Amino acid sequence: MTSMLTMMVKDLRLLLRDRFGLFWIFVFPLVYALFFGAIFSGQSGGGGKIGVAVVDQDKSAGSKAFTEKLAQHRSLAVARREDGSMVLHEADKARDLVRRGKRAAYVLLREGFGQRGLDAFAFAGQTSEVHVEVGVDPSRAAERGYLQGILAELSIRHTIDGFSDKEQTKSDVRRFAKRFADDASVPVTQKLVLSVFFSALEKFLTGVDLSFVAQNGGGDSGGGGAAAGFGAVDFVDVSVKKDGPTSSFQISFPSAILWGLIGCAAGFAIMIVRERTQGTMTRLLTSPISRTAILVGKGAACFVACTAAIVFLLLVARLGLGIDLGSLPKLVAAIFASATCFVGIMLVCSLLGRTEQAVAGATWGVMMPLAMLGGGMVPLIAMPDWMQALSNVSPFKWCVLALEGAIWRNFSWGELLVPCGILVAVGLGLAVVASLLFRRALARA
Amino acid sequence: MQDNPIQATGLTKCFGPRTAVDDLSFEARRGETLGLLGPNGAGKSTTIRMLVGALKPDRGSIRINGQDDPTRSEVKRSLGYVPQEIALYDELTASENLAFFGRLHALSGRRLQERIGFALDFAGLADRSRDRVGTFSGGMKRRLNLVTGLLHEPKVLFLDEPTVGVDPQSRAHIFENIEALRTAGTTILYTTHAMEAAERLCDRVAIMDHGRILAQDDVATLLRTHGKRSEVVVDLRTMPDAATTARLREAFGAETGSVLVEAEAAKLRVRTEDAYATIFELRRFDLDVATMRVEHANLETVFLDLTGRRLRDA
Repeated sequence: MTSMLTMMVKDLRLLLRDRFGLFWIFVFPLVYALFFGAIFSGQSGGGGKIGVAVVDQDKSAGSKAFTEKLAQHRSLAVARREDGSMVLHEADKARDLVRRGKRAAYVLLREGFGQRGLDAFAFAGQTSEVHVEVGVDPSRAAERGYLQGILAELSIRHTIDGFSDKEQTKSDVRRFAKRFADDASVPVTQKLVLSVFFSALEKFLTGVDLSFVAQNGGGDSGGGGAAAGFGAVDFVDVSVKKDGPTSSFQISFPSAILWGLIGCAAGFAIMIVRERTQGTMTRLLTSPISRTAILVGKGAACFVACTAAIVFLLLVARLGLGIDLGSLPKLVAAIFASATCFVGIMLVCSLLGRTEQAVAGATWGVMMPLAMLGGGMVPLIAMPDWMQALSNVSPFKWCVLALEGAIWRNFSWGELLVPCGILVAVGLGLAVVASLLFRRALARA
Repeated sequence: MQDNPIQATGLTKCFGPRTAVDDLSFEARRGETLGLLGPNGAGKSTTIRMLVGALKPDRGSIRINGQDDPTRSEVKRSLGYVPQEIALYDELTASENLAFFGRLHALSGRRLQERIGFALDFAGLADRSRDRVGTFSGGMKRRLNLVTGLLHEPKVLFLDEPTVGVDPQSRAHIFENIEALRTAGTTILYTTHAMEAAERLCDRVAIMDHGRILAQDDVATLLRTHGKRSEVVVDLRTMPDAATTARLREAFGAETGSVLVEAEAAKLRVRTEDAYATIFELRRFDLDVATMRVEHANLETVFLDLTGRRLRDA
């Protein structure tokens, strides 16, 4: 045991003094993760806009006009079809989109939104009915507040625009007059005064041209402050269920970890063959340490280095970028299984040639196709179905899947057992093969 | 026989169709230095690697310190091995290298530090202990390579060409180290293709070629038995013509090969039992002589006698 630890410490010390090796294990994967994370982020981020799903249950002219205002707002991203028309969702679909993190929020215009006309927002505080519903994850307080301001702004614009429709406005005036006439709590004298006022207002509206209202009032009002009393929106909590990546870095970091593990395995494989070419292996073989202990010591060093590489990258992701790393116990299991697999791969690769050049060439020759197939270059999530099926033969795929399962795929322990079990089985199987090959190689040397 | 720390009987090792070591038998007595002398490819290193347990023989038996399996830990602890290659880690310092191999031999704590200190002093590298081996000269690496095999004070030491490619100063240092170990009673098996080293360091020498031992005995007996004739070596300014060469062969060449004319080196070699008579006789041939010297019998001539080839040309 002491001899194995001595071997392990020595190999780790050699690794720490190999700057080129450290670059491939720690620096290159980090650059890869940041680079591709940033690229993917740029593709899906919508230029910093809040992604909103729109539901129009009212389907009135007023609701259509309002949803168009939502879609045109500079701070909101509302999906459109190729012909330019807005994508409207059913309520359940919109809630699902928010729950899965595909949209930051949904805005639902309930039935009656259009009938209420000017009353829908502006006077809603005086009624018991609310015709606008907004669903957002409770943790996204910033988006919620921002959205509240935008809706207030749009409600004012919508109200002002409503004045340009003379018949709609006269209808609203008649409705208000009726409401006051029917309200028993209003004194008779006031009812009389209000009746005269509304009658005069209706006559005034009949004779006046209101088109200037739309012309002058249709611009950006910037009226967030004007909606101080605006409270006619039902905010509904929709907790995001993490069955998809919430950040592009959650995709790029597992792939980058794969490259770190490849660098680690290649480095240790070359280190082993260097022992043979330099003669230190012969000296080890004549020391009182068994051949198995030599391999186990080297495997242990590789395991520690692999684990260190993964932990380093994940720490950068968590502490540097604030990436959600999902379940820690599941992540530990994925790290253990991945490191075990790469130890087995490293041991076999170290025996694929008799010189450093041969082993380096063979190692990269084996690992590159496996990496391409396993999600090292194109993320698994972006692969077509046939390629995802083909990638099952690559242990690297299971490595990425185990890490993603813990980080954002929200795997149950049962689901995680599949990739982790495959990785451990491959790692141990290859270690046994390497042990046999090692004895044969030494017998031929 | 029972007391001999190194015993090899019928050792054979083949690599594919090539037989590297062919039915080799020898032993080294306690406290003696046994040399395996032979050209490159003679099978010396393969033999030594089998003896230290790094390579499994196809046939034959090995006994080291009375035990017949050199791969066992008890046997490994009792032997030291200095490989032909610089078997050190360039990225580690001299002290770190020694500490690593010392720990593998179960040294630790104060004892380990004492042995590291001794080894560095012995190699003359005490002032470079904290420097990485990669910054050392070839001679310094060789010296460190040697003392790394001595850390655990082995009773039996296997040295595989320990002075290959070193400067004269470092070679002298290593020779002094080995002589000190001889004096201390360490049993040493020393492989070399340099007859000077074998003559200086070895009590007995086994001459190897093509995986076989051609002769083994103490140096004096080998010289007496196989290297009895001296050689007159004449460096020429111009080569003699064909007629003169023919007359030379006629005068000295009763035996094939007793006169060697090396045209490329403008050199004439005459093997003889009476060097001074031969020098006197050569005056008759009107040779354009630059220098002339007599080379007395040595292990080189022993090898020549045994194989018909010179050791350095083999």
